[in-house]
Amino acid sequence: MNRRLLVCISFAVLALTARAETVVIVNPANPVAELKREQVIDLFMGGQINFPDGNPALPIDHLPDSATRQGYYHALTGKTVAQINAYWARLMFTGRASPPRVLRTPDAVLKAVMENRDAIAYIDDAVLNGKVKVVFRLK
Amino acid sequence: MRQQLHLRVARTIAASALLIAAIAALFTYQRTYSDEFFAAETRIRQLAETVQATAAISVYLDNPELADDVVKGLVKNEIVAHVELVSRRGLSVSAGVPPAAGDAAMHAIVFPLNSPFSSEAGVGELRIVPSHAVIDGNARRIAVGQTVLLLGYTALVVVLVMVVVHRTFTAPIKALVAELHQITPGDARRLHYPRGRQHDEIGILVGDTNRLLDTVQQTLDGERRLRAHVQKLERQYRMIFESASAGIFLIDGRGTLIASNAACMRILGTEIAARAGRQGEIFIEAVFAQHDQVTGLIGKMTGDAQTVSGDFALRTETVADARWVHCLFTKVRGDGEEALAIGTIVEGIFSDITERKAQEAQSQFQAEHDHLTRLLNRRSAEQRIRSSIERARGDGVVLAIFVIDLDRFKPINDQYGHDAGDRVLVEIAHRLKKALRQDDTVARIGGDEFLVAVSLGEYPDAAPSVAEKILACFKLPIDLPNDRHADIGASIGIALYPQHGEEFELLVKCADAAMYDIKKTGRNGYQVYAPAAAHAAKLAG
Repeated sequence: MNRRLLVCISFAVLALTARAETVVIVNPANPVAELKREQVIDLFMGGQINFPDGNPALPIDHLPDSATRQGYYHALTGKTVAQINAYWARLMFTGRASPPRVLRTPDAVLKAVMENRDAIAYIDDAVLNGKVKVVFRLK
Repeated sequence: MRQQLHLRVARTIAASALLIAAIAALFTYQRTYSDEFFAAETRIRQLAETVQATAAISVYLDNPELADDVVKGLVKNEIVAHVELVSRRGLSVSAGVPPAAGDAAMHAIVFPLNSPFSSEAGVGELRIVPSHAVIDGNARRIAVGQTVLLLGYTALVVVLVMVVVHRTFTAPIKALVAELHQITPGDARRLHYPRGRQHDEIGILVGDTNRLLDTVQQTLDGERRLRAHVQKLERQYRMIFESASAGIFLIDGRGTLIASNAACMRILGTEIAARAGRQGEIFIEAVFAQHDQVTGLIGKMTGDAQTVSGDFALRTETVADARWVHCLFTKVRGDGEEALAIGTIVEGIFSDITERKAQEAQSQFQAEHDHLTRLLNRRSAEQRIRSSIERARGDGVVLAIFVIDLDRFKPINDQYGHDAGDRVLVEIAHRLKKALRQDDTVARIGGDEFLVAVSLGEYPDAAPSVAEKILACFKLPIDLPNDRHADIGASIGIALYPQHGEEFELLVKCADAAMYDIKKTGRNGYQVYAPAAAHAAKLAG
């Protein structure tokens, strides 16, 4: 309960300071119109490897020290980047799951989504263009 | 001592302690078992919490390797029997020995697993079954340990109590018992106080026992003294009783002899003593001649300590060896119960008075009789004749009074001396006695004057024949010493009762008058009183 309260407070603080919204995007050809928060978490954390329509998903991530990535995971799961990294590190040795692919710049992320039908990524809505489809909006 | 007190106390304490320890052990075991079970569950919860994050991830991702890691890690704990990790999507990984199907005692503890990234619940479950055997073993080990400790503690307490009880209670009691056992009631030995125990119950026991022994000793001493005193008294009384010169006897209400002393039998003499001592003999009847009189006398006594006495003749065979006793009878009655037991008792004390009685008889004889002739003297003759008159008056018979005066007596006295005269008087007395009947009265009333009273029955005319009989006594001469003889005669005057008078004096006077008449007229004859003659004589004189 306390934990959830803390998450809410942190989220509110971030939203006020950043004033920027992060959105989850997919290729416009992707039939998925909208995703729920849990569906987004599952796709990015390895809990689900396919989109709801059954097509495999390719999650794409930003550099670990990027502000966007930090804000995104915090807002989405309430965890820090370090915690998320630890999660992936624990799973690495099983050989079953792997973290999303990392691209160096937000433009590269955007470009990859525009070009790959299975890609899914997140960006600041400031850099958003009309060639990707927004399926979830972090508030 | 067969029943050792301190061992009995110890046995009782030990038995009670063992019972309590057993109950306590059972209780301890049950409580330890449930405690241990609760502790095991707590530990399992802690374990589950430790692995919860990893377990959640494994079911979130349906990652069997990670799940396997979790369950194998958990099952390494000995209190965990079986672990199963299941995910919502069908992953199921388990380790350990699954519980038997029917074993309801050890059900699994179920921990629901949430998604690591959201509050979304129910991504899977962690089911842990605790190890019954291990928990049970632990509980048993702890319970046994505690029980052993309790038993050891109990044993220690029992031993301590035994020692304390023995030292403070049974040992002094045992010592006192042994000491008391050596003491015979009445001796001067006493119990000693155990050291430092003067003021507790043991001390009180010793004090009270000693007081009791004091009392017993005093009582016994008192009784010894009393017994000695009683024995001394008894000896004295026996001595008095046995050596008394007076005869003493005790008879009961029926007259049977109870006791008698030596003097009693000695005075009674062998003959009477033998008769009195016979079985069933009435003592009074066996001993006294006038036993009716004696019995009556005793019967008259009323009340206690009354005394009657009298002189009584013993019941001898002949009058010649008559013996007399003075006997004092006292009614004796015991006190209280004794009186009921023995009833009335009569005590008799007597002494032999035969000699005194003889002396009395002799002096009475001397008082009543004439010295010389042993005939009645005037005084006693008067008494006897007075009573004869009374008797004659009652019977309506005639009594004749004879006054006899000797003729020619004075010359003998003068001629031959007083001895000769005395001899004549004695002889005359002898002849008169012989001539008259036993119950006729013969008395010497003067120097040569005699008085005779004879009952004539209904025949007043018999008087002359009696006078003739008297005269016959003087006919034969009386022998005197030196071949001499005394030849004397008698003048007899006769008066008759009731013809001539009713009083003794008058009758004697009449007889005297008649005697003087005959003396004047002719001597050696008799004359019946005739009033006219007397008158004539008077006139003539």
